[in-house]
Amino acid sequence: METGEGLASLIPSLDSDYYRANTEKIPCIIQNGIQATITVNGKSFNQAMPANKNLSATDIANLINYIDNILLQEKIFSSVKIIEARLENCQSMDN
Amino acid sequence: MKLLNHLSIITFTLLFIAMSSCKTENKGTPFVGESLPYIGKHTEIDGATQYHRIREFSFIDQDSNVVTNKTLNQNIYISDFFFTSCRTICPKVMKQMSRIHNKYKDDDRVILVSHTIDPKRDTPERLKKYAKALEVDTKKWWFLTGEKDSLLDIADDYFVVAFEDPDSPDGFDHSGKIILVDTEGHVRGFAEGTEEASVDGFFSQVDQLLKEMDEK
Repeated sequence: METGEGLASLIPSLDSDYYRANTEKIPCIIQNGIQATITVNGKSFNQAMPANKNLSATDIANLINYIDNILLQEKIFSSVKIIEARLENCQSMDN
Repeated sequence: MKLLNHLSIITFTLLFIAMSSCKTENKGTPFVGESLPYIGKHTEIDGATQYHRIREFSFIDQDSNVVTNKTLNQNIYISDFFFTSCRTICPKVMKQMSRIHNKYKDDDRVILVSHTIDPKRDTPERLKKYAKALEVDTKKWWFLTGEKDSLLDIADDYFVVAFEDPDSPDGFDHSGKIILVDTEGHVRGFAEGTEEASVDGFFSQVDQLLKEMDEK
């Protein structure tokens, strides 16, 4: 759990095709949660992810930088500005 | 100062009584591999010691089957409290419950029982869906719902803290304890469900209780 590996078909792994392919959407998913069924690493996940409305853009930037650099070791840095811009685009995305 | 002295004498006396009563009941300190303690208050009724016991209950599982104390009295069971929309400690505890499920998968004597504390949202249908997503055997691991007050009240018997809290992020506060109950409904052991190392130690408690069951 601490390494982002997920749990069965309940919680998807962060080390996944879905996470990497949805860089733009990830801040919105963290903030608003997700209701739709998603396919992650070939497996279907249909349990709702709750929203975290109280997280600020800075909180989400810190979280994403932790996931990318510590958990996934990918050396990608996302500034608060980039995250703010992505959060502003959430409405236009199909959540 | 005087009060403090008095208090320490009282504490010391109580400790001494507690230790000596422990000795007579458990025939020694409960080291790993020796008999498990009976956790909770002991009362004397007509000269016989009555151990703390889980109260009478009636809940329904993920398939809407009624589950009572009687349904469980052939088994030892491992209990916890959760709710499906919990974002805080529940995923960690579920991960540890899954480890326990996998370890005793082929031992029919062991049942896992997860109580929701959010029955308004956690209907049997929703619990069934959750169990399916957890990829576990619902013959082995039951997900119980029922009257909210009964669920919150019975948590006391398992020494679990569970209450509604509008200030908490998901509306409820609860502890992540995993509790071991014997065939008579007595609490015999527990683990911190958020800590993998604690659950490692818990396995020896379960094995000890199974051994005790065999010797009966």
